[in-house]
Amino acid sequence: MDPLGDVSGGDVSGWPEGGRDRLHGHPDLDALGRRLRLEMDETLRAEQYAARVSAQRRSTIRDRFLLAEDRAESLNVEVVDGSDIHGTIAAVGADHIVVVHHGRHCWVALQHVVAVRRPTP
Amino acid sequence: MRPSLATVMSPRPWEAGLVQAAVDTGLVRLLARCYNPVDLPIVDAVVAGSEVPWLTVDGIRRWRRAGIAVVGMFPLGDRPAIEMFCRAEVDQLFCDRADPLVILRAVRDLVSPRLPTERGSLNRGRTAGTHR
Repeated sequence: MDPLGDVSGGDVSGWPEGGRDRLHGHPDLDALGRRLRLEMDETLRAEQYAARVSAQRRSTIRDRFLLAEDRAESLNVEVVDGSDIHGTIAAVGADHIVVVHHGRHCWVALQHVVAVRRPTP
Repeated sequence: MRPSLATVMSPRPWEAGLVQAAVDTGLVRLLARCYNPVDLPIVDAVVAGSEVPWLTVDGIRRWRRAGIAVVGMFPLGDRPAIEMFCRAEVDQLFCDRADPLVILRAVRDLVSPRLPTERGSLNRGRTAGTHR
């Protein structure tokens, strides 16, 4: 009986030889090594999740526009007077964005942006 | 033309540094920071660290077969990570302490010669390089 419990059900596909590589030495160390690896994977998953949450919490509307620019994404940008500006984000400055629609450029101050929406398909 | 890039979201400082460098320099178009494999959009290159729990040799090979250049990041002295990336035949390897600008320029150089050609048949004959 394995005193460390069954650890064979976990996902060890990321490890060399699917996790089957053995620690050299006492055979009982094999199970111990697998268990430690699975625990390490759990820790890495938790760390990656925390990294995503942290990135989301630190992100700004300007970051979202930078992403839209790199993706050449079309967006609807609602500004303080209630109007919608639709177009592709062509550039992002320190305090403004440039929205292009049918060849017409529109400079919008970031502080005037109220909401950003993806156009409905 | 600027190559498109995705990173695999990582808690290690290299990933946030690379994202910041991409934003600041505009050397590449950063399309995504992937949390899951399914988050990966169609890109020219992806940068992934060995600390990502779901990163596997087969997964990296699938990306490469799809014509995506793969850059692997490993912690200094982590031999299993280097071996894993070598088995997956990544296009480039970097120690995670490497200068983000060097990584971005390597991505640009990896991808630029193949931008005008058809994707999927572009990786042949290339060998992986390692920068430490």
